[in-house]
Amino acid sequence: MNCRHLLDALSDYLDDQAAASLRADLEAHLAECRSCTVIVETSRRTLRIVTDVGSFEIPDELSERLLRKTMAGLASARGGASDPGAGDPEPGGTKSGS
Amino acid sequence: MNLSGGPDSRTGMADAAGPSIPSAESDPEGFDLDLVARARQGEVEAFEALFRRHHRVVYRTLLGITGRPEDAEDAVQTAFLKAFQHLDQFQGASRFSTWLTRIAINEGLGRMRQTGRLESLEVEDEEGEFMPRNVRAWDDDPEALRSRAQAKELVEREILKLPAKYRVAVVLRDIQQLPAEEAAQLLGLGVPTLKTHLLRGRLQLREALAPHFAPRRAAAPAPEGRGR
Repeated sequence: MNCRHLLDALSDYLDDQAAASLRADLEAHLAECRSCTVIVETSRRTLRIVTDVGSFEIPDELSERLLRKTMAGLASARGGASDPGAGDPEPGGTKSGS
Repeated sequence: MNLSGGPDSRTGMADAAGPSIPSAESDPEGFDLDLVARARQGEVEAFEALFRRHHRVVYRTLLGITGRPEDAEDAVQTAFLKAFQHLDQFQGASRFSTWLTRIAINEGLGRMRQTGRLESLEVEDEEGEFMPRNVRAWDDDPEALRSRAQAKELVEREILKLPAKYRVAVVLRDIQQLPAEEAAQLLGLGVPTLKTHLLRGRLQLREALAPHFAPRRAAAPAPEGRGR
């Protein structure tokens, strides 16, 4: 286990999805590597901040504006506007773009 | 106007919502299915209720993809209208929110490609850009350094700066809290690719936040293997 290995497994470790044996190896490395300890701890704090601050919560004014626009668009579409060109939204419709 | 999507949002539909109708709280998926069935019959109020329940997820997803609030706002309307026009295609095999999120992702990715802002969601060899550079410990309580509003503004600004493929991974996993498997499926990616994007997005975000939360002092040694 070295710093590169820890970085590769960082997300799984932060998400508690690392297998027990890998987790033990990571924690053994962390016990002797201050830089990786800092990286793990600050990454954990990053995720906590992203959650705690309510990132991209929608203010009520925006919700109301979105609703008004959408319902106006719906009324227009139901009034005889043409199909805006929806693709098949069923599973498999998403492409990677590669 | 109540936009909470919770039980109060049923106000105005109460006459139609008899005791046999699923509850939004105890059976959200059944509640959605009931609304979808009514919307298919042309009941505009049912579609409006679906909007109220799901527009936040759709907006955040589109913001994650487009990176631009104004684009996300336009795309929300289009995504919901497409959903309405294709309600007959919703078979109930997945949750309505998943089906709707997939429509939103298709809409967002389509807009990005049309404007040349998204070439690929696949992994590219950019490893060197993702090695942590700032390895200073943060203050004990970094969040206390700023008000919640300041921290929110900072975090949102830095997330929007991430490359689209990393940004959308962070939004779906860390903000929407979707499982990796579901986020990968929605984006048409394998789980390993999604996880690579997520790791890179998280590391870039950590790097961007570090100067704001780490005290100014001598840096610790960089991790071994850096730059390899």
